[in-house]
This record gives sequence, structure tokens and C-alpha cells, in this order.
Amino acid sequence: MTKQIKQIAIYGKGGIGKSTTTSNISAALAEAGYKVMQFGCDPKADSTNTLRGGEYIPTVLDLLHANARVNAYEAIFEGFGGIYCVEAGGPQPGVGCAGRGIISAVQLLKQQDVFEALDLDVVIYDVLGDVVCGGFAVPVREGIAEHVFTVSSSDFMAIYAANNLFKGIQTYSNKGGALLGGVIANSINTDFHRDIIDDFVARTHTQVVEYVPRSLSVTQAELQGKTTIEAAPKSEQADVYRRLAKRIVEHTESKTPTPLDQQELRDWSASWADRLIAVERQSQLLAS
Amino acid sequence: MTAHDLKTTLGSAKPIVDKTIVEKTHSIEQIRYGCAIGAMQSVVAIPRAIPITHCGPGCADKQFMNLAFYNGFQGGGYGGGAVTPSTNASEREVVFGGGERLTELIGSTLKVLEADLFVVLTGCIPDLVGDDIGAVVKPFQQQAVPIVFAETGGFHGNNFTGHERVTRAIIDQFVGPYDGAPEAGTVNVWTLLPYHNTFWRGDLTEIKRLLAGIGLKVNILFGPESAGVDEWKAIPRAQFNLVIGPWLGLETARHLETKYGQPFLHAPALPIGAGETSAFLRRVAAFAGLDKDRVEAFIADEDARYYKYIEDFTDFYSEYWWGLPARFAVIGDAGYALGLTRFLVNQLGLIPARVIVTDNPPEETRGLISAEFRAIADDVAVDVAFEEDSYTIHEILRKTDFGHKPPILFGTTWERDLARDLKGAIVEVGFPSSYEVVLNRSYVGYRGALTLLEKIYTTAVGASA
Amino acid sequence: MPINLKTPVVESREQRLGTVIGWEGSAEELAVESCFKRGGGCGGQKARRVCELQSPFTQGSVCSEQMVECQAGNVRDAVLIQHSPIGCGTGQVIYNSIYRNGLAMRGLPVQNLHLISTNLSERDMVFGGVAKLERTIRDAWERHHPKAIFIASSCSTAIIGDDIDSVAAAAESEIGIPVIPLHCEGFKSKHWSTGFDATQHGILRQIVRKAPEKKQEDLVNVINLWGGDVFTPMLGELGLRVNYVVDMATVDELAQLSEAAATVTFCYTLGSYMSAALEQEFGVPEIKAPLPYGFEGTDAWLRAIAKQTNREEKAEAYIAREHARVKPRIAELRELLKGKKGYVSTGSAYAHGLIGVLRELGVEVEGSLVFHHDPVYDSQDPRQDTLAHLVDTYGDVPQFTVGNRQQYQFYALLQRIKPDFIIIRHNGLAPLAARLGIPAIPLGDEHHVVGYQGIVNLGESILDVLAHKKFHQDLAAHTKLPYRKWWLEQTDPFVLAKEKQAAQAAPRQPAALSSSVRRVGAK
Repeated sequence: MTKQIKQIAIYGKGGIGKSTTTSNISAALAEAGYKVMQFGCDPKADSTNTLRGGEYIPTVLDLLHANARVNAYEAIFEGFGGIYCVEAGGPQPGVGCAGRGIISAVQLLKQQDVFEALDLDVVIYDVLGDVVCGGFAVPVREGIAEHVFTVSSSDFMAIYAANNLFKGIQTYSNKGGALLGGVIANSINTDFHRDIIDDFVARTHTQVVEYVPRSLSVTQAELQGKTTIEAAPKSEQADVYRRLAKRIVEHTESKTPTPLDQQELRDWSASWADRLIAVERQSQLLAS
Repeated sequence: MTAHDLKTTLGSAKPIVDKTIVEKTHSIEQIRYGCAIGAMQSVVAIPRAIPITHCGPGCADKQFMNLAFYNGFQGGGYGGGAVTPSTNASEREVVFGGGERLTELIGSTLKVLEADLFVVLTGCIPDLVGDDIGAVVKPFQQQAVPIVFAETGGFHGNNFTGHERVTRAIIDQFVGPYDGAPEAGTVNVWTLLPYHNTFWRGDLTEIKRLLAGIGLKVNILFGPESAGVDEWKAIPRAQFNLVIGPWLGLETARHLETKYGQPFLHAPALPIGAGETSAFLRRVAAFAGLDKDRVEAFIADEDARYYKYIEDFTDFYSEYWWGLPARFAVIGDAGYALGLTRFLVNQLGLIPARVIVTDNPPEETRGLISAEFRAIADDVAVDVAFEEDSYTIHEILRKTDFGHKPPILFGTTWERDLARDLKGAIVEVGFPSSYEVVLNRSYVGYRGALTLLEKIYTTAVGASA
Repeated sequence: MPINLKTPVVESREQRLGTVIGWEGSAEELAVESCFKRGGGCGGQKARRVCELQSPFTQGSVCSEQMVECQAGNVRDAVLIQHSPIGCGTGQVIYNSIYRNGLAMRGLPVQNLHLISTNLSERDMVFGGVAKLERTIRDAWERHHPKAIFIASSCSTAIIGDDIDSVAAAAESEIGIPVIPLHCEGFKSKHWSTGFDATQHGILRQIVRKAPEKKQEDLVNVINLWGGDVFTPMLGELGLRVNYVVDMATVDELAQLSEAAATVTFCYTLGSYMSAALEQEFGVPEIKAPLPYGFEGTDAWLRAIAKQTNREEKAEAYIAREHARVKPRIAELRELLKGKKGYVSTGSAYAHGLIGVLRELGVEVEGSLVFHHDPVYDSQDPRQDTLAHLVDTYGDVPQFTVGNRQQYQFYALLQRIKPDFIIIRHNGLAPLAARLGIPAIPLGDEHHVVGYQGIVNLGESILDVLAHKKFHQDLAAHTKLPYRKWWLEQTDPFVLAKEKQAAQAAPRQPAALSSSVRRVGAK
């Protein structure tokens, strides 16, 4: 009997810090002795850059483009701490079908039994969360990831994307698909940010796995093409990621979220906008 | 019995799609048409035109083999069958787009194949991933290559839809603008769907013969009697467009009306038999303003020959001992269904038990089609059903009252087993007709009607002992 | 690498076996390049790399979904749902006709096939088609109460990413019969035979009895299509019963595949995946021998079955009896066919067998076009190298061509060889040969040529078809081909492919690739 591989998908709106978070989780897990694969599912193919000194690697779909027969191992590269880095890749903007690319790339690795052969403990899919077509839902489906996490800031557009993801999870939930582990609250530096996220998770019946503050050490590490774990292992931020990684790898019980419908989401954001204006007014009053 | 009584007796006035029979869903079992890219066969139907298909590896073969081979065994023609170029799109064209591959295919096609017109047809793959076909084809058009393109991905609709799209693509991208004077006495004919209609070659031949007989110059456009692209180039010069059939071709005629200011005449019923055909010809002649004497002389001549045979046939029809079918059902395209029903009722005096139209006519045309069926004769009205799923169709037919005699079904291969179960006869008259070998056989006009009589009664007599 | 039945998606032929669809040389050269029986130096890796010619000009081929229609769609008490726009459903016509005639030939009740299209529209492409699939599964169940429901994917539903696996799983637990997703979208593989594998993959995963209570020691699985019943009398001589799959079988006959004593096939192109998987997963031995064509092939095949099932004495007696029975007529046929030149154009392994039979009949075979080439079969057992068997037994075939039914290439091939007749199985090529004055034997019954009687059958069929020559010569004088003069003058059918190859000779390197990238390394 082969061991159970922990398969996790991390979704988030583009630019929200999803790849940064994912790579730090992978790095923290590798540091803790796990055999990890990080699988980037974004046509930009830059998910694993900070695990490999800022380098881009050839993607699964690059191989597919070049020849009819693909050896999946030619798309696997070692990164920090022995992490196996894979990028699905995709077409140039404006042509082809990126969603189908994700399907093809995931199928290829599964058919060649790569995960078992590499004796992995954890596979983390880092998935672009803006796109709603079927291909980007592949990691949520039956037999791929078991737990989904979403990276979100308190920014309304990020929450909109998270809510969309919840809808996707709900769709697949009664068909054996992955369930929601929770929200990784990113760039949370004020209580107000925290309140927004907390309110959102309460309404959608999920939880915050970790609050990750915005930190200069992250930016500094990224500029060196590294994760915070690698570049500043002793920093406070690194410990935040280690805590997050531990929670995620030990996480067992995921649930079906209850996403807000269009109107609820609009009303909800409007109410927070009103509170935001009130708070600002108050601070202006205090200043004057 | 009064005419009114007859109407209620013969006309099967009850609603056909009885909701208690089956619940209607989108599912289609035992298909009765192909998809939009099936219109590659409309290209093949134009002499010396070749389709270039940008689609998955099976699409071109599938449409050809089913529409043109296992349907009357019509064959591939000049540029169809295994000749048709295809990108045979693979995963690479899906993920990264197929524009480059299509450019390569068109370029090499021009080296290998000789044609007067190439029509690029797209399948689901390029239409989903959004390949810019116009951008691929345009440079070839600028180099004066006779090539046009049409978006015919299967999800856009069936091969009837595809046919109108292909026709329009050729008119807009190949025939082009025209502001000269119209040529009196010339007509463009828009009627049966090539290949899908099993007998289209013979039927178009007979239609052209009839129209030429009353003095028209005929652009028949498809099939062995067409002069190919020269005829297409001549479309704008015609005096008018003639649409024969309840709906297919109307969209094209309206487009031509806007584009070239050509009027059109719509004859909803395909003319079968002398009565129908003579009336049809008189209507066309009046519209076109043809010389009456010539028209009447032609009709008289045809009538005389037709009725000579009908008279001879009468001995059999009135004296045959072993019984002939009385009630019939028609399962087919709106075009054939209407023409056949009118002929069977008005010429032969058979009783319509069920008529089911299977080609999914556009919603806006269904009112007209229903009205045509309600006016089959003064004393016969038929409530036509629109249904494309054969399971539902067969359920309807199994619950139809065919009276005390075995019925005769005018349908397709799908009805063979049903006819056996109903202990009736089957005449395959539409797609798919996998147990008919068809060359130039026609069932329309004066001559076709006689052939149809032979077929009907050979079937009946042939099964008798 | 063994067959992977864990994932619902079958691995394509090119991935598993290194299948190619464009190649030219001699049969011996291809056998060497394939490293199968001739192997040794290829590191034991399953999928060999044969150098492939890719032409910029291609004519419509055939797709995997079509092969699913003609296999899963012809299981007698199952329903196949085509999850697609209506166009994929068009194939129902041909496979219905073939199914009906196949049933009639096998003496089974004639009926229409049960294929249902989900009939997707533009709206479904945007919003997803799974709700319609769920409804169609319900329709399939309510209408026919089948013993199993297959679901075929399509290009469009695979692109929009409809999750047919979870819909199938949910339906299966609700209805209580196997509901089997078959991933067979046409773009997934360059060769249609992946569709055979897709069907067999689904059957192996969800229909074949996992832990059979009983073994049927006299039952032999025969993986075939619609062919006439020639295996029952043949194997009956050895006291064996036949379990024909997949076409025209019942779901129950598919379920008992795991109970049989052995698996054979008329063609490894069709039977490779199922046979190898039955051995790997259920311990049903696959007969590892050349296919039953010609004396040597049939002898070896019968002996291998006899050895596996401990019936060697019966087999030897049968072999001797049959040799004596057919040899006189074969001698007459050889006389009648002296100096005749034949050409074979069929699926790969089948062609290897047919060429052998032609040579038994004394017919010259200088060339053949096969629709694809699998360098190895799934068993990887060199005794199944039908190509090497052909060359070793009957000598080389100097002009051996691989091409996925490209009619334009066929012209040059026929010009080179100018055969008196061709043997063909797929549509599309015979019409061209006919226009060149060459008659074709269309092998509808794929079992026509099997075994000792098959040698006689083929000889008689050749005599019949040679008489057709009058029709074809008359046609040749009255026809115009759609090919340009330039193309008709080419003697190399791969000239365009070679031009393309030359133009692409410069190696491509992804620009962003860093030189320090270290690969984990191929296994």
C-alpha cells in the first residue's frame, strides 16, 4: 500500500501574493523534512521562481508543444530544499486555451504515476483564481487535491475571487471534489483588514488559517529570487509561514463553504464601504 | 360524409406530442442531422469546390461517412471523402491555438489540390479556443486565391445552419458586390440540403429540367447539373431567387434581397406529382413574367406523359388482390415531409396518420410549416409534430392509430425495426438511408413522382410473399 | 511501465507505445527501428522512438471518439452517451449500419444501437454541459434500463473542462449500474486506436469482475470487432469456448473477461491494451504468439493456446488435419494467382498478417501502407512482434509505408507498385485506387482471413475481385482526380514532410531557459 499523498490546492486572485505564500509554505515544509512538489497552474509560469533563484523553468506544455510524446520528468526541476518544481505553462495571451492546458498538464503527470514514483509527501497546486473556466477547476475535482485554501487580502476584488472559488468548490462538493480548508489572510496589517476578512469567513462558514502581515522581508527576499524562509530564515515573517505550513500540512477536516450570491456580496461590500467611510471621517475629525 | 367529417376523420386532429407519452429533454438518440461542419458536404456539392476543415481528426470523416456514405452510398465526389484536407487538430492546437497550423495546411493544399473554390470550415476546437480564421484566410484572399471561410463549430447548430453559413460566406467573400442590371429570365434556386437529402442529385436535376422547360435560365448551384463557380459568380445577375421548401434557403434569399436587391419567390412545398408540379410551375412563371404559351405547352406535354403512366398504373392500383397500405406516417425534413404528404394525400388518396418533422426548423418558421400541413387539402389537415429525438419519435409512432391495415412509413433507417414491429412497410426517404443505393433517382416533379410510385408499391408488393 | 488503471483517463498510444503515423522504408528497417523482437539496445523502455515524418498537408483522419462509438456503442445491453454537440452523434449512422450487419452475420437479433447525444449548444459551451449530461444519463436509464452506461467525452467538452468523472460517479451510486466515463476527445491522440484503449480502459476499471469467484478454464477471450464466428469452430476443436468482446458482447460477457483461461485477438492494434491489462490486473494470460494468419502464424498461435490451456494433443491433431484439408485448394489457388501483385492497406498488425497470407498464396507483395505503427505492444513480449514475424517468415517488404489514411500519398504508392488489386479495410483509399483502375477487396468481415480456411477465403476473394477489373479500367478512362499535376508527378509521398523537416532543422530552445536548470532526469 502506497502512502497517502497530501494534495493541496491554493487559489487566489492574480497579484494577491498567492505564489509567494505557496512557495513559502513549500519551503517551510521542505525545511521540516517533507518531500514536496509545487505545481504552478498559471500560464505566466512563475509560481516556482522564488524556489529556484528567480529562474523560469520549461513548462509541461512547452514540452507538449515541442513533441508529441512527453516524458513528464523532463518538466520537473529541483528547487530549494529539494522541492520538485513544475509549471503547467500555457499559451501566449490572446490565443489557445489556458484552461485546457492545465487539464492536459495535470493528466500527464498523473498518468505517468509521477507523484508515487517520486515518493512525495505533499503536492501543492498554485492556481490562478481569476479564471472561471473548467480547466482551472481541475485541482478541485475528484482525485486531485483534497483540500483547497485561498489566499485573500481584505481587498474587495480578492474577496470576490475567493467567493467565486467557494462557488466552484460547492459545485464539485457533492461529486467527491475537494473541500475548503480555509482562507489564508494576506497583507493583514490593521484590525480593520482583519475585521473584514473575519466577517467574510463567518458569513461563508469557513475559517482563517493564518493572518499573514505585509512585510518588507518578503519583498527583499523576492528581489533576491528567494522565499523568506530561504532568505531570512530567522525573521518573524518566516515563522508566520512556518506556522501556516504546519497548520496546512496537519489540516484534515475541510468543509463545503456557503458562498454569498451576487446580491449578498454587493450588499456586504457596500456595508463595509460605509463603515470604511465612517472610520475615515472619524480619523479626519480626530486630526482636525 | 361531408368534407367537414372527412377532415376530422382523416386529419388526426389530436395534438401529436402528447405530454403523457414522453417527457421532452434535450437528448437526441439516433440522430437525424449532422452538425454545422457537415456543411462541408455543401461545398463538395459545388463542382470543383473543395472544403478545407480546421477541426479535430475525426470531424471531416464523420460528417462525410454518415451524410454521404451510409446515406444512399452517394460517394465522396471530387473534393469530399478522404480527399478533404483537415488540420486534424491535436492537443497542441487546442492549448496554443491553431492559426499557424491552418496557414500551413492552406498553403500546402494549394500545392496538392486543384479547385476553383476552397471553403475553410471550422469545427468546435478553433471556435472554442478562438482562432482568428479571418486573419489566416485574408492573406490568401489578397493573393487572389479563391478561398472563403465559415464558422461551423458543431455547437453553433446542425448542418442546415452550416449550409446557410457556407452559402453566405461564398456570396459575401467570393461572389462579391454587383451593381449591373439584372438578367431577365435567370433564377437562382435554393432548395434541398445536398447529401443530407438522399435524393438531392436526382431532385435538383428534375427541378432544373422543369424550370428550364418553362423558359428559365437556371442557376441550380449544387450538384451534377451545376456549372460550378461560374454559376455562383452569376448569382447577382439573376432576376430573382426561388426558394423551394418550407424554410431552408429563406435566410439566403433575404440576404440576397438586401445585398443585390433581388426579389424572391417562396414555394413552401416541394412539388411531387403532376398536380403539384403544374401549379408550382404556373406560380413561378407568373412571378417571373414568362411567356404563357410556352409554359402551358410544356406543362401540357409533361401532364400527358405523366397521366399515361398513371393510367397504366391504375390497373394495379385498383385490382391488386392482396391489399395495399392505406394509412401512412412521414418522418423527415420539413421539405420532403410536406411534399410527400401532399402527394400521398392528393394524388394517391392515402390517409396521414402521423407527420413528424425532424430537421429542427427555426422557431420563427414553424408557424408557417404548421399552417402548410393544416392545408394539405380542402378536406385534410395534419397537425405536424416537430421532434428530433428518435426515441420520442418512435414512442409517438407506436402509440399512433394506423387503423386496421399495416401502415407504411416514409422515414429513415431508424424506422426499419419499428416498421417490422408494426408489421408495416418502410420506404427510406431521408437521412439516414443506409439500406438504399441512390444514384440519380428523384422523387420530385413529374418524373420523380412516378419513380416514387414504383418504389412505394414495389416495397408493398415485394414484401407480400 | 505497466498499464495505469488508477486514473480515469487512458494514456494515449503515442505516450505508451511511441506510436507513429508517418514513416517510410522497408519492413525490416521498421522492425529494427522499433526495437521490439529486434530489440536489445533500447534500454527496455516501453515506448520506443521511431523517427516520424510530419507532413504540412493532411487529409481528414479518424478520431478516438469514433472508435469508442464502434466499441462501447456496440455493447448490446449498454447505452453510450456522447457528451458533445450534435456533430459527434453523426457517427451513429455508420456504426448502426455496421452493428446491424454484424449482428445479422453472427446470428444475433438485429437491432439499432443505443447512442444518445447530449446535443450541446453554444450556451452549454459557455456555461458548461454537465447538467445536460446528468439529464441524459437519466434519459438513458429510464428509456432502456441498460446494464451499463458509457459516457464519451468530445473535443468541446474536454476543452471547456466538463467534469464527466464526477457526474458518472454520482450517477453510478444513484442508479447502481456501472456508469463509465471514457476520455476519448479526438485531439488527445494523433491516432484513432487510442479510442480502442479508452473503451477497454473503462471496461477494465468498471465492468470486469474484480475478484471472480470462479475461473472458466475452457473460456478464451477473443478481442475482435464484428467479424463472423470463425473462432468458435476453431477453438472448439481444442474444447475451448469463445468470449467475443467488445462489439456485440453483453455487459455480462465483458464482466467475465477476468474469468477466462486466456486472451487472444485477431489484431494486436485492437487487442493489445485489453489483453495486457487482463494479464496484469487479473492474471488472465495473454497468448504471446504471432497472429493466426498463414500456416506458420496459425500453427504457432494454436500451439501457444494449446500450451496455455493444456490441450496440446488436440491442437496437433487439428493442425495436421487442417493442413491436409486446405493444401490442395491452396495449391490450385497459387496456380491461378501466379504473377499477380497485391497491395495491403489496413491497420498495422492486421496488415502484417494479411501480407503473410498473400505470400502463402504466391501473390507478390512489394509494398504496404499501414495506418499507424506501434513499435511495441503493451505486453512488450517480442513473441508478439508481428512485423518481425512477417519478415522472418515471408521475407522483407521493400516499400513499407506508415500513414494515417492520407489519400494523396496513396497515389504515389500505387504508381510505384502498380498492383493488380489491393486489400483494404478503412474507407477512403479504395475509391482512389478504383479511379486508377485497381480493384479493392474491402474486408468487412475481419475474420475472413483468419486461420487455415482464411488462406483459402482470401484466394477466392482475389479471384472474384480480379474480375471487377473491367469496371475499374472503364472508370479510370473517364475520371479526373482532384490532385494537381505537380503532385501527381511526385514519386515520394513524403516530399512535403521532408521539406518541412529540412526547414525546421535548426533546434528550438525556449528563450527563457536558464543554462543552470538541472533536470531531475528521465527514468
